[in-house]
Amino acid sequence: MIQGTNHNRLDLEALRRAFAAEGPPASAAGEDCPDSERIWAAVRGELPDAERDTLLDHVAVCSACAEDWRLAAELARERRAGEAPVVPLHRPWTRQVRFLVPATVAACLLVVVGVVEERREERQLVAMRGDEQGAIRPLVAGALPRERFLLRWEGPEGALYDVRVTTDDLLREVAIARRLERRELLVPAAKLAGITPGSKLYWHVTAVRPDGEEVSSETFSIELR
Amino acid sequence: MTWSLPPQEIERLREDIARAVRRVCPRWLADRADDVAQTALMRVMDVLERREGERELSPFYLKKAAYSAVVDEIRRLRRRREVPLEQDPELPLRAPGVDPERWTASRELGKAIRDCLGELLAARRRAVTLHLLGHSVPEVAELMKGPFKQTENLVYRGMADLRRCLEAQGVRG
Repeated sequence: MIQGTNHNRLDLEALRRAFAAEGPPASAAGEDCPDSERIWAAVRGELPDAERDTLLDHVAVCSACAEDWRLAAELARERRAGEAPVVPLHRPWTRQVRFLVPATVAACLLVVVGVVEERREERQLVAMRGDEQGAIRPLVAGALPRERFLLRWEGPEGALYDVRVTTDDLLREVAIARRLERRELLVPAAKLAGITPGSKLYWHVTAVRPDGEEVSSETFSIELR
Repeated sequence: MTWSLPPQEIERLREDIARAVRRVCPRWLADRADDVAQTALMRVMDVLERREGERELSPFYLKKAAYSAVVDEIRRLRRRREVPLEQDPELPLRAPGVDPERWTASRELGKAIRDCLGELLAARRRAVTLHLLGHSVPEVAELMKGPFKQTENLVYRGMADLRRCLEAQGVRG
C-alpha cells in the first residue's frame, strides 16, 4: 500500500501535486513524445479535435509531456490581459516613426504596473539595466581570433562577474565562468574547437555587486575569426 | 553588435520565461532554472535576428518561440541524464528542502494516477487529465470545445472514477 500522509491524499490539490511529480517519459528515450509546437498549439486550443485527443492521451501517461504542458499553460497565461498587441522590432541603424494609438499606450501602462507589482514579489529576478549607470557594455566588437578570444566588458566597480558563451546554432555551451573579479574572459582555443571560422558566438554577462544585487547584460554577439 | 529588441522588451520576455520556468521546473533542474531561461531567451533572440525583413513581432510569436526553446532545452537536459529517473536514488537528496520519503510517496501516487487514467473512459480521461494539469472546469470546456455542463459532468464523474481506482490500488485519503 502506498504510504499515507497527514492530509487527504485524494483531494484535488494533492492529486495535482502528485500528477506533477517527476517521472519518466512514456517511452524510454521520449521518442514518442509530441514536439513542442504541437503541445503549444493544443494548449492554445488550436489543434484539430482528433489530434488534441491523441496528444492528451499521451500526456495522461507521460510525466515529461505533462510537465511540458504545464509550462506552455504558464507561459501562455503570463500577462495575457495586459500585453500590447505588437512588439516593435527596433534596429539601431534605422529610424522608425511609430504612431501609438491610445489603446496601445494604455496597454503598455498596464504592463508597467504589472511589472512593478511582480517585481515586489520576485526580488530575485535579475535586473537588466541597459541604459542606466553601471550597465554592462561590451568592449570588443566585430571578430576575435581563435588563439586569443578575449572577451572584455565594462561594468560596475567591485562586482563579480558570471559569463556565459554559446554558439548560435545548437547553443552549445562554449564557456561558462563564474565569479570573475576581472572584467575579461579568455576563452581557451580548445573550447572553440569544432566551431568554424566566421561563426557567431553569443555571450552574456551577469554582475553581482558588493551589495548582492545582480545586474544582467544584454546578449552580445561576436564572430570567431 | 547587440540584440535589436528594445531592452525593456527583452526584460519583459525574460521575466515571462523565467517565471514560467521557475513555476514548473522539475526539481532535478531547479538549480539550472535560470540557465534554462537564459538559453531559451538567447534562442529567441537568435530567431529574431534571422527575421531580417520583418519589423514587428506579436507577443504570441515570441512566447511560442520561447516555449519551444525552453522545452527543447529541458528535453536536451533530460536526455543528458545518465541514470534513468526511476533508478536515481540521489534525486531527492539533490533537491534542497525535499523530504525523500514524501518525494517517493508523491511519485508513487503520480504513477498510480497515470495507471488509473489509462483505465478511464476516453472522454473522462481527457477531461480529468486537463483538470489535473491545473485547468479549471471552464478552461477544460474551452480546450475540449464542449458545452460547460457536459464538461463539468465529465470532470466530476472522471474524478470519481479516478478516486475509486486509486482506492482499489490501496491509496487512502
